[in-house]
Amino acid sequence: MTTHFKDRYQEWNEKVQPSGELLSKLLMEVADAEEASDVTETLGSPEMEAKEHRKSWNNRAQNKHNHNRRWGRGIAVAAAFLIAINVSIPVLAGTFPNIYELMYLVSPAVAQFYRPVQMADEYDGIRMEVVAAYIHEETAEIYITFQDLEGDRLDETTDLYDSYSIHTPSSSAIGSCQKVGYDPETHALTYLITVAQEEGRKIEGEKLTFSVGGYLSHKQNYENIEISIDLTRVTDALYQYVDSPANGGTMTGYSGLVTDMSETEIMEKKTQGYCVLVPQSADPAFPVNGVNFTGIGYIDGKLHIQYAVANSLDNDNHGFFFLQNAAGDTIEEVGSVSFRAGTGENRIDYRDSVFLVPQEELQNYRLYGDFVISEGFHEGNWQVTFPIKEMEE
Amino acid sequence: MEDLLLYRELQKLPEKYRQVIHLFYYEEMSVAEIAGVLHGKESTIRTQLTRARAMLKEVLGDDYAF
Repeated sequence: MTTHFKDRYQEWNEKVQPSGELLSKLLMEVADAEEASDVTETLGSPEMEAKEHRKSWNNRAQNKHNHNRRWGRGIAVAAAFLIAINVSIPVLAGTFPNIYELMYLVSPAVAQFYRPVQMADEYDGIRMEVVAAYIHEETAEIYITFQDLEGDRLDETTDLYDSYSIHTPSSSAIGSCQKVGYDPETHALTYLITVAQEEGRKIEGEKLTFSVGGYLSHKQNYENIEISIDLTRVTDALYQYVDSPANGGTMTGYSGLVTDMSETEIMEKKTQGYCVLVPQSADPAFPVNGVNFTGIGYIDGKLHIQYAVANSLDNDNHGFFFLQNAAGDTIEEVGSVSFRAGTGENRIDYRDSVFLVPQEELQNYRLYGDFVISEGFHEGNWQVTFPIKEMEE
Repeated sequence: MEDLLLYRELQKLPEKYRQVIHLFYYEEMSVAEIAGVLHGKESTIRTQLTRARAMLKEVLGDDYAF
């Protein structure tokens, strides 16, 4: 049964809420930060208008709360992030609460159940501390800090990249990691990691080992990058079929294509796989390092644009293309197919984006892209073992 | 477990995409209001919203309608 994302997202956010007092305090801090900001530095009327929008948003947020609207934890954190980004006042760095206050901000309903662990491990000059944990049934919720003691290898974009895990006598688990704080002065990050054993199996045993295997850092966002390609010369291109791994194929993912497929195409997919461009040599003039442009062309009347990433398992490099004309009208992809070639260190991952734009209209557009590039995965080995019984509810 | 999956996939989104998703779906702000708060053009916000949905659909599949 299909669920509306909006309903699910609201329900999920409303499961945990900060107290009215805590939220009021945060919103007042935000408003004070607004008042104290240096409004004379290059502000023109668009800036003032945006400032008024933010104040209006804060006031509306307070009014909503006063009308008994329950707030998810995301909005409190989102408020701090947004203001820090928009007014360049280090709200996060200068006034960011300590980790125990953070727990009440992020997870107020369960903050009282966290037990201090305060055990650390250090590897290659980076210290990981398990600050507190709350273990209940099949779930472990763990607050950790991650700090570079020797340099600036960590920054606000540092991502544990699913390299964390728990080890108990009864194995497999899946988890999620939420970054909840970053101190630019100490290069310390705080994460809330939630790990749950599959099939609802209770976490049992005497001890639990939490480990982190590495991190990605120094991610760069590249937005609205123009790709200098003469779109008037784009024609039909060489193509191939890629199939799902279940059928021995190299496809690694797809999205959004079925709704735009004819019945013939759907039948072809079932027997042959999805149609993608045959990758060409990387364009040396592509403006973003870390992603390679490997093709553009029409297949059966649909425009395909393709990029490739080498060693994608060791980075999180990814991006999206879009077309835009002089009037600012944008054409987004209607779907994509991802596939790989090679294995191990020689593996290359491709992403074919599909656009619905007639060939005769393409000349009216220019090609742009948004990309996220990281400097590569840094392996490490941080482990902390602590007793389970003392962490249980 | 569904919560964890949604949580994890949302966290994988670039921060700007998470912001627009939250402001649009939870705060129920319009594209124009989001553009004002985030200091961006409305066309940019629409683009970010479209891409964020596309990224979520890629992993959440057809279980959700956007």
